[in-house]
Amino acid sequence: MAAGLKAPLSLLLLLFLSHISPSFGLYEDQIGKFDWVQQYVGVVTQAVFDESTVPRRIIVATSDNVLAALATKNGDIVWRQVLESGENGRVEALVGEGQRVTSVAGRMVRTWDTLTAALIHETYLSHTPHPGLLERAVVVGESELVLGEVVAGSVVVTTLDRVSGSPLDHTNVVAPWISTDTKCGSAGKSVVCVELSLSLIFVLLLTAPSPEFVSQPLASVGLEAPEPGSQVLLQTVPGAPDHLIIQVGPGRRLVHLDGNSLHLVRDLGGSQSSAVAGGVLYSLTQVAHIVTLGAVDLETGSEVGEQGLVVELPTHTGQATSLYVHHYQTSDGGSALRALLTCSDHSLHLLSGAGVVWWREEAMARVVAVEGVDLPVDGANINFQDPLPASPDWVSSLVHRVRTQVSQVSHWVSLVMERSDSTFPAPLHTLHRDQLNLRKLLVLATASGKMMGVDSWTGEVVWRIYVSELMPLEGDKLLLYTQRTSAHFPHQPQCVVVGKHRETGEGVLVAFNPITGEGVGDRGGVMTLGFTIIQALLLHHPDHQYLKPVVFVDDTMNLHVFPASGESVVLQHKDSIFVHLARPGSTHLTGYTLRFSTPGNLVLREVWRVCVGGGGIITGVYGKLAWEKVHSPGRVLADRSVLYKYVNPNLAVVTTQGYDHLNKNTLTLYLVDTVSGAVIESVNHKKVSGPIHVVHSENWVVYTFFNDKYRRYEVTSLELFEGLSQANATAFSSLGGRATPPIMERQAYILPVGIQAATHTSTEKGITTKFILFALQTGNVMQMSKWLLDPRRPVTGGPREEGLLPYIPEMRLSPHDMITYNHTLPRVSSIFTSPTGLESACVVLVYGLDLFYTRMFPSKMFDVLKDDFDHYLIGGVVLALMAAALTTRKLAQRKALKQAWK
Amino acid sequence: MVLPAKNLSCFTVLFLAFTASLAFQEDEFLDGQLTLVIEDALEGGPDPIFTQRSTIQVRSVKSGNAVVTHTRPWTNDLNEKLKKLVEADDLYHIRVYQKGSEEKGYVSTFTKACQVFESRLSETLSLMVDGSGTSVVGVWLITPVCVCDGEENGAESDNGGGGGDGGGGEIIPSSSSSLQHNTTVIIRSPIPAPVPDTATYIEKLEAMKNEKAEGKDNRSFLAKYWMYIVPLVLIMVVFGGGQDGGR
Repeated sequence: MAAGLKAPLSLLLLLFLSHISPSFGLYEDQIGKFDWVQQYVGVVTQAVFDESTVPRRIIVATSDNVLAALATKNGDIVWRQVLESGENGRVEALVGEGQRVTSVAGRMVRTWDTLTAALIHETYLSHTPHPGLLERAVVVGESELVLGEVVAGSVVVTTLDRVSGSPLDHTNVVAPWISTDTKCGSAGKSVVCVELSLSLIFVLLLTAPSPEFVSQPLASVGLEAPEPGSQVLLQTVPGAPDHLIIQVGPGRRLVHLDGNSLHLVRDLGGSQSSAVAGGVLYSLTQVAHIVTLGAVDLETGSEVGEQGLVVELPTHTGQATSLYVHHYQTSDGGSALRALLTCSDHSLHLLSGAGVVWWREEAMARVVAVEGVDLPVDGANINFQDPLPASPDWVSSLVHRVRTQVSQVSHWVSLVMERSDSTFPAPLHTLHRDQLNLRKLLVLATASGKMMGVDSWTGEVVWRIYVSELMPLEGDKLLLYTQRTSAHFPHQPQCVVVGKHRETGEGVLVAFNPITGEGVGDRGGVMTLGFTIIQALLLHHPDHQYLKPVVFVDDTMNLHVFPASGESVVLQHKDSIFVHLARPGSTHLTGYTLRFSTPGNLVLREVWRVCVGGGGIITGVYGKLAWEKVHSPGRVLADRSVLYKYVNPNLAVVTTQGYDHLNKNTLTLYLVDTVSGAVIESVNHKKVSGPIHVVHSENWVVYTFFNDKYRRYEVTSLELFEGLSQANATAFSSLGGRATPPIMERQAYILPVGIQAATHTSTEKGITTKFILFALQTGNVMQMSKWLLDPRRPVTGGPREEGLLPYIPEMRLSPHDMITYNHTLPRVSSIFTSPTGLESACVVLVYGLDLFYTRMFPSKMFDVLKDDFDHYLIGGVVLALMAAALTTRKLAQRKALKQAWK
Repeated sequence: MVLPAKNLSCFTVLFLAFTASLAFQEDEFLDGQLTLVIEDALEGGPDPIFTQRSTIQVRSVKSGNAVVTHTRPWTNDLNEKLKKLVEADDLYHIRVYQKGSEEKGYVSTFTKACQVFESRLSETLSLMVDGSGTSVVGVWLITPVCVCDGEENGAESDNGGGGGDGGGGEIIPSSSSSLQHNTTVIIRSPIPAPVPDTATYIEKLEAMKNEKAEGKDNRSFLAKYWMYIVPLVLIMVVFGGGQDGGR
């Protein structure tokens, strides 16, 4: 009977546990209290002013493959449609047709309702894009669609039916002069190519019955004898499809296309971008932050001064890159102008005669790196703290401490006195650390070269830095390091962002104070390094000013240190600094030591090498967080013995992906010690493909991938244990240890949906249970306890370890576990987690197209009293008990005395 | 363990049967044979000079069967070089490449020279071979001594086990010239990845279902509730009998 009961009981227990397991569970009135979400659209590439609906809207298509409607009044997103990612979703043409807008992206022609964002019509073009496509011109006609695909040596013109998507006509126009250097662009119904080596402009009218290139010399549009190698730029003119801007070197000309011929309209030298509205050409010139829109009547060529604009853009705005102008009749019969402007810092501005109506910080749609900086404690309070002497003995440090504390007490007393004097509240906008350090300053580095400081409580941007020459390194990465935290008053905190120069490709470093956003050093903290960075690392050892130096490896394997004074720190720890390098797509991972460095000459010497064979290449190296703390060194087994964790801080996961004719796509994970180069373990997957997301922490690795064989997403969990005893309980050394490799526990689970990004929660002391955060392809972010992914979950019966649930192959997604509740976050690129002053709490920033911030309590708020905790009752009970104890003692004493007299 | 005056002295064969690699799988794992050359650098400094030390004949990657042959006798000269490395607190580098396919490059690792010295040249070499069993991915060198204590009781000790040498007294050679590398080789290869174990789980569910079905009570009404019926009947009999008697 008992055996029969066991199984249903365990199932019941499982059900019960899965319900009580810490789920996020938010009450409706808590929405938005501890979290915020910011939606973005990306860099606007096309815009259509929609006048058909009230309130007025601007329909925009962006480089992030988003189609959106922005309210003209305030710039809010009215609706947003996220199209396919990659080339398939890039909007090539956006045509407004009354209350509808038609977009052509990849092989999809879609018609949308501008009011409701409903998809009215969708056509799949039965036409495969040509390989080696250089440029594609799209002409959207009433009933047909003409595609002009420029490939080397020819232009393929295809006419397709707009409703059915079937091809109607197909012509191949041979043009042997087209090479990869030829610049081609589309304007209206034509393809225009400029071939500098021939000094000719070629025009091809796509809608002609038999399309043919017609050439004319560059000189005919006033661009004479261009220098070879000068840059050619072809720009369409928004609002005037039959016009085109041709820029060769400094010469910039507006030309008009009339069938197969073009003629010069105007010299636009000096202006940055132009647009046409109502027969008036608006050209933009920018000096610093002052933008001037000059208006010229296209027909007469005379300046229409009164229609121009002079507007000052907000600071930290880059150069204007494109302009869309709209001319409209105001209610009192006059005419007014609206200009939509995108800038090189990815910001979007709407200008009118009165100035900037609104602007959007679209740089936030491409956040590349995030760091959470602790806010400084109350400024007035720390003013009394003097820096500790450089080498304190115990007497002086005691004196220092007593003096500091006395001054703090006196400061507090004076503060209390002041408070009673004045009734003015403290200014609210100042950033101060809250009691539990839950408030952070999030430093965001974006692909546009703009850095922003965001207050984590409100989501407001506190400061901005725009460095126009900064762009991400290979692999779309910017390196963001906190060199000095705010814990070292009076030294200011310092962060650095490392990227590469937009033009030269050499390293660029920006050093700044993350609290104020002020650059540190000359030129606003921007430093051109003068070499190409292939590796950079932040040392753990601070210098005497508590600044952690950053070490760079350049492409000739030389070392550079920032700041230069950090060299002494490097030399001091040269025996324990190891660098590992893997070139993208290579099969080698090489480790280097700095031990042969001498003052003024830091050198790398190879000490180990790992060579992944089997036809695979290294696709990723995933280390651990440097500051990570592991609270418990072992796990208690069912028989009460302890299984010790293999906690190697130098361990990195190296993923290699290859193609094998027998097993198709293969994935091999190597766990490599980055000090000794030892391959600790490796796991081999067959018939799996990416994207691979690896979460590596403590003694475990969790990674997700797509299984080609079963066509499903899987998550694999690996856990390393030293065994029932530890080789060295006090310290870990990569150069010593057991001769036997650690025990690896492993298990796999099925995930019902795909993953966009994954990370783990991090708390200050590592006591709180780790949770894994998965950004699902459905747009939710799910939290999953590490216990559920534990590789030791028992498949069959037997003595069960504490807290382990029986193995179930498929992971369940519970709506309670969605930390984003009803928000959908498209295109999540990564998740950032940061510990707070409260051990149970962890702050989370999900970034991608949108930003979502929340705070999590993975093990619930075990270190915080409940809101409804009755302090008075507990205090009263304690006092009453004390009083009772005292009186009964008195009574007992009296009784004893009486008895003694008897 | 010490073989008298011979160039190839000590070899250790180690069979390592990983339970995982024995597990059933549709593996086409080549049971490849590899010949590996080990080189070490006893002249340290920034640019170490490597000389051939030993060869490893891997007979079977799958079973981890390998034989080590030390091609270089350990001489006093080499001992002096190692001591020099120890004095400079330098590193002891080794690298491994595959005989016949040198173009594939080598894999290398290092340890502290003092660890080798104090371990009296005994060491464990753990070699990771790739999935197809054709090339070496990485090498891991482990010495029994993890932390150097700086005492010169290592390879130098020539007074057969005297003077408080801890552990393994019988291995201590009578002179440094008869000392030789004592190498244990472990050949490992990638573990096949775990797959979601749906079969066992479904079996478990089936078993649970069956158990439930079996557990269903098919007994008759009397067989099930006799414990209630019997006392009831007894009570009725007792009281009923009393009335009868009273009549």
